[in-house]
Amino acid sequence: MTTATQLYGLLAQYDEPEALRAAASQAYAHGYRRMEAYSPFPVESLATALGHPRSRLPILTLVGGVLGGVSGYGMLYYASVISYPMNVGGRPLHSWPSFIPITFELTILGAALFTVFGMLALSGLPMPYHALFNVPEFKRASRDQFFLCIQSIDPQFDINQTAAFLKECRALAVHEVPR
Amino acid sequence: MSSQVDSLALLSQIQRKSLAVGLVMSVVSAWCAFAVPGQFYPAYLVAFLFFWSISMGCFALSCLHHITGGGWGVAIRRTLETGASKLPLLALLFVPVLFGLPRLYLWARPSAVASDVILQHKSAYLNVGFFQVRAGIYFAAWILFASTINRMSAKCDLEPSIERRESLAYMSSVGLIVWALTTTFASIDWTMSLDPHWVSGIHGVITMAGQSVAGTAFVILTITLLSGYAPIARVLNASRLHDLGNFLMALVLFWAYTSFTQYLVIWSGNLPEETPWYLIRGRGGWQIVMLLLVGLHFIVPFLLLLNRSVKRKPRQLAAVALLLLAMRIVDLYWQVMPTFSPGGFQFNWVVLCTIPAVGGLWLAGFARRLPAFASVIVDDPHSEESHHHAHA
Repeated sequence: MTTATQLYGLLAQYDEPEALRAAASQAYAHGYRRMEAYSPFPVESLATALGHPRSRLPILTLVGGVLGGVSGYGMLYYASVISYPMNVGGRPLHSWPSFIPITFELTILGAALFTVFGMLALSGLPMPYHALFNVPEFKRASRDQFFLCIQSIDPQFDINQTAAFLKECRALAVHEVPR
Repeated sequence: MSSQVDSLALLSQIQRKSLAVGLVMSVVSAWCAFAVPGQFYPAYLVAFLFFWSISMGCFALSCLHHITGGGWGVAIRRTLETGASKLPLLALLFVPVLFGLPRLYLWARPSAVASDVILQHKSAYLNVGFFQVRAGIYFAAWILFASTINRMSAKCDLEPSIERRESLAYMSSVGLIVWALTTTFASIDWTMSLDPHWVSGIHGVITMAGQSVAGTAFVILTITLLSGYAPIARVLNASRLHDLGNFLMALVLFWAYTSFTQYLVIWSGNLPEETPWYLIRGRGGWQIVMLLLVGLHFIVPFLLLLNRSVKRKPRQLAAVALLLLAMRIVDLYWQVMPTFSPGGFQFNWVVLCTIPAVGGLWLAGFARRLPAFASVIVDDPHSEESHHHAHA
């Protein structure tokens, strides 16, 4: 038997999304907070059951969109009014209608880049090593099995009690996850 | 069960009241048609186009749902089909437009055509006889497809089978193609030809976007009104509303995108036969209507619908939908009316009669038909998903 400090956490295995969601709700109700669930496909409302806070990603998307739009319009303004003013068909130098398509596209580009890289940053990716892969069964999280991991840093974590609790939550198996 | 009865009572109350309003206002409108025909016909066209666009939007969205499936459509499918089932009534309501052709359209006035070479060149298409034949073809196609698809959809509920579902999806995809083609030509005939020198390739797409906004906004209003009652209450919840809110936001963006594209193309081309359309719509007070459209048909609803909480609360989402329906009328008014007062904005008070007249009759027909369909589908593969959301 390993001691709690050598463990990343305890991993409970399920073969049904419903069972995983039920276990997550029970664990949350029991007071566990430092936990994460793993499944081969998105499970509706699992994040709510785990008590995850709302993602901050939409804010990043908004910031990226606004930055993209402002810099797009600014770039066009600088190019056609300040840096290289040129009379095109007698139109004013600051012809806003012709600036809109590029402003729009850079808004989308900024929002998309911030969303992708923001998602990676908020998830802590890329992550070359993760303790969970020390459990051979965990490979099936991308195939046909559902996992709930309660981490050892949870204040409520106690190796024996938590393992017993997870078994009560009808886990098919409870694996110890070495660091 | 009692709430089912309540919703039926509510619908029959709506039906009686709107029928009364529709009939009284029709009499007033008929009087206007003789007293002030110059004001009446444009006002009637705006009213007709508005309710026509709701029905057409409902038709297109129901086709889309039959093709793609998805839980988002389960709660609204019957409402969409009911909206589409009002197209025969709209065919009847189109008749007054036919009486006003010379008052509405320059190309229908022989004296105007005689002195205008461009109109003479266009007369092979823009003439009264062919206009009437085309309108007949459009309505025949819409009624045929809407009634066939509605019937097939009802059959799918009674005796569900994969073959039925597939043939419904097939018929709906043909229906969407027919919708796009006929709407394009109808918009050329009914609104673009108000200024017969003007051409815009994207005008049909803008009309389709307008129809989709109107249909979605109307459906959101209807189901939030009925959300407290039995069949809808069971399948409607925050995440379903959220889907519809996202849909509405996408359509608002689509409308804004196509409308701006038309403006940009005409502005960059700067050609004498195209720019007058915007020039008369951008001066003499009309520019205020234009700014109102930019603000309240795009910026405000877009920013509101970016909010997650607005999309999940029935009252707030209904308020945005109501705003957009009102702006649909303003948009149609801004497209039609400047042709008749190019010098500057004038309020055509006859719209206050024609909109309740057409709307009262249309809404009475809608409220009468809605309970006749079971308002929510009982046995649908997506229904399961929709109910599941309710407990999640």
